[in-house]
Amino acid sequence: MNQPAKLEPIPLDSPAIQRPDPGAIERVVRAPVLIFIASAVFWLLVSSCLGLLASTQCHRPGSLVVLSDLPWLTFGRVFPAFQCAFVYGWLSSAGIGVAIWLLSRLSNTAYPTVYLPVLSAVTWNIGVGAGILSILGAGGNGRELLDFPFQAAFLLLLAFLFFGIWAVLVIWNRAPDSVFISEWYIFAALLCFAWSFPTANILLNLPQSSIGPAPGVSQGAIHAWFEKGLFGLWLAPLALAVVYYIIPKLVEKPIYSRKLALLGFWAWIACAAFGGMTVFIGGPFPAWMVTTAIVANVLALIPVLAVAANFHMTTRSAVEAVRSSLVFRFVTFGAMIFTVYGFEAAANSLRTISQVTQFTLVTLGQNHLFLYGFCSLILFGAIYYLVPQLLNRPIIFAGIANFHFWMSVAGLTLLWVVLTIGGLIQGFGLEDAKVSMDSISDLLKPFLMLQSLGALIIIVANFAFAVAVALIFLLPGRVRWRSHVPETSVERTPEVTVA
Amino acid sequence: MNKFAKLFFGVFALFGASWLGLVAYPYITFAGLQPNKDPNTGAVAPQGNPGTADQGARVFAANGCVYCHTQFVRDRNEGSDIERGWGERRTVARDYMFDRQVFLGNARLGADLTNVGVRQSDPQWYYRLLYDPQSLHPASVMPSFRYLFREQRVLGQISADALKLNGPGAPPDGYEIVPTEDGKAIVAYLLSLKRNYALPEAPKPAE
Repeated sequence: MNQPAKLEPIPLDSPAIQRPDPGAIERVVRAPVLIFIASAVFWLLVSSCLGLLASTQCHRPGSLVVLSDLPWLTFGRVFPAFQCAFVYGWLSSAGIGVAIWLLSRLSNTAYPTVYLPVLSAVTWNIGVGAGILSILGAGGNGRELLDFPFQAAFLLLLAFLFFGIWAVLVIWNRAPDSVFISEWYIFAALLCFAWSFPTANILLNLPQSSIGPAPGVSQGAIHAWFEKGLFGLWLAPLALAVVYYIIPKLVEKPIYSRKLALLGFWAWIACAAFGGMTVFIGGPFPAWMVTTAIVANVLALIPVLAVAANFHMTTRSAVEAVRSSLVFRFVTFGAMIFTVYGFEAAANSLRTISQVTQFTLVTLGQNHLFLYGFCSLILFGAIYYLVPQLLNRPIIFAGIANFHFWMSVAGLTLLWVVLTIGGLIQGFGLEDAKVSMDSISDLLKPFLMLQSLGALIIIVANFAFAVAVALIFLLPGRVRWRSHVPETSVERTPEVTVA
Repeated sequence: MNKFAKLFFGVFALFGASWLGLVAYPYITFAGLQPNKDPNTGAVAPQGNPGTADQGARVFAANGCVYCHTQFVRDRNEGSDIERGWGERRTVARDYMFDRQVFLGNARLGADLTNVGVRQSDPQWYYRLLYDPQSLHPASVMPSFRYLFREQRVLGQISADALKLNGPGAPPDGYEIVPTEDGKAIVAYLLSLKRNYALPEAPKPAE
C-alpha cells in the first residue's frame, strides 16, 4: 500500500449517467480541434523564423545592410511580429484547440453546433495573419503583445466570442457531474481573456474614441495589467488545465490532493491579477501599484509550490513505462519549468534584484522560460496525446518526436542561460554609470550570437515537431472509430473533481 | 451550474478588483491631471506637443523603437539613470499627460529617450544616427533605418536637411540623401522629448 491515504477514487459506476461514447465526442469536435492545432503548428514555424531573423539582426546590424532597405524586415517590426505570432498564432490557437477537446471530454457532452468553433478557428487565423502582416507593414501599435491594429484585434475578439459562446453552451449542457480542475482553469481563462483583451484594445489602440486612448501614463498601468493577464490568466490556465487532465490519465490515479489544487487555483488567480506592475519599478506610478505587484509576485510562490507538490505527489509512484513516455516527459517537464519560472519571477520582482535585471535580457529569458518552457512544452505534449486519438492513429515516428523533445530542451536551456548571464552583465553594466552604453553593447555581442544559436536549435525542434504532427495526419491508416477507447476514456481512469 | 456560479463570481471578484486598481483608478486619476503653473515665473509645464511630434510618435510606434528604448527615469536611489545623464530628476505622471501614446518601455538595449531632445538638439545628429547608427556608435546593435530616407537629384541648392556624407556611403555627384516625411516626423518627435522642467512632486536637485 504505497498509495497516499487521501486517495479516494471517485466511484466509477456512479448513478447511471448517460455518457455519450467517447468516440462520438471526438467525431464531433475533431474538425475544429484539428484546424486550430494545424494552424497553430503553422504559426509556430512562422514565429520561430521571425524570431531567428530578429535575433540575428541584433549582432549583425551592419552586415545585413540589405535588410535596412527592406523596412518590413527591420528588427523593430520583426520582433513584435515574432512575439504576436508566437502568443496569438501558436500558443493561443493550440490552447483553444486543446481546450475545445478538454471541455467536450470533461463535460461528457458534445454540443451539436460544431460550426461555432470552426468559424472561430477560421476567424482567429485571419485575424492573426492580418495582424502580423500589418505589423510588418508599419501598422503596429508599438505596444508589446498589443501590436495588432484594432481591426485585426477585433477579428481575434470575434473569433474568441465564437469559441466562448460554444464553451458556455457546452458547460451549460454538461452532464450533471462533478466539476474537474481542468474545467476550472479553462473557465477562468475564458473569463479573464474576455475581459482584458477588449479592455486593453479599446483603451489603448482604438484611435480617437470618447474613452481612448487612455490618459497619459495610465496607458502603462493598463498595458501591464493586460500583459500579466495574458500570461498568467490566459496562457497559464490553459497549460495547467492540460497538466491537470493528462497527468492523472497517464498515471491512472486521481490528483493527490483536492485541497492543494483548490489553494493553487485561487491563489494563482489572485496573484496573477495584481502582479503586472513589476515591469515599472521606479516608474511614474503611485508606489502602492508597484509594491502590490511585488508582493503578488512573491506570494505567487504559494500557488506555484502547491501545484508543484500536487503534481509531484501524483506522479511519484508512476511506473517506468509511464515516466519514459513522450507525452509524460513533455508535460511534466513543462510543469517543472513552471516552478522554476515562479521562482525567477519572484526573485526578479524584488527591488534589489530588479535594479539590476529590469530592462535587461534577463527578463527576455524569463519570458522564454514561460512561453516556450512552460506553455509550449505542455501544449506539445497535449498535441502528441490527442491528435493520434482524434485520428485514431499511433505516433508513427516516435523517434522524430523524441528528437523534438531533446532539441527543444537544449535550445531552451541554451537560450535561458545565455540571456540570463548576458542580461546580468548588461544589468551590472547599466548600473555603473561609468560603463558606456557602447561598451555594454560590445560585451553583449557574444551573448546575442549565442541567442541566435539557441533560436536556430529551437527552429530545428519546431520543424521536427511539425514533421511529427504532419506524419500523424498524412501517413496511411484508416480513420476508424473504436466504440470504446479504454486507456483514454473518462470512465476508466478516475479523475479528481473540485467542489 | 451552481458550482460554475461560485467559480464565476470568485474569478470575477478577483480580476475585477485588479481592474479597479490597475485600470479604472489610474484612468480616472491621470485624466484629472493639470499642468503645473510656477507661482513665481508663471511658466506652465509641461506644455502640449507640436503636431509633427504626434505624427512622429506614430512612426516611433510602428517601427518598434520601444522594444529597445525606455522613456522613464528612475530616482537616484533606484538606479543609475540620473547619473548616466538621462535626466536631472525622476519622471512623474504629469510628464506624460499630453502624450497621445506613452512609450514607457521595458528594455534598454539602447539609451533611455526621456530627455533625448535635451541631450541632442541638432536634427543632423538624428538623421545620421537613423541612417547609419554604427557611424556614431560603432558597437551599437541598432538597425539602420535607411528606408526613412530617399536619394534625390539636387535641384539648385542642396537641401537643408540633406545628410552630410562622405566616403563610400556618399551619394553620387548631383544627388543627395534626404529624410522622407516619416523620417522628418520621427526626428521632430525625438527632438520634442524634453522633460527637463521642474515639477513640485519631482524637484530638480539643488544647483
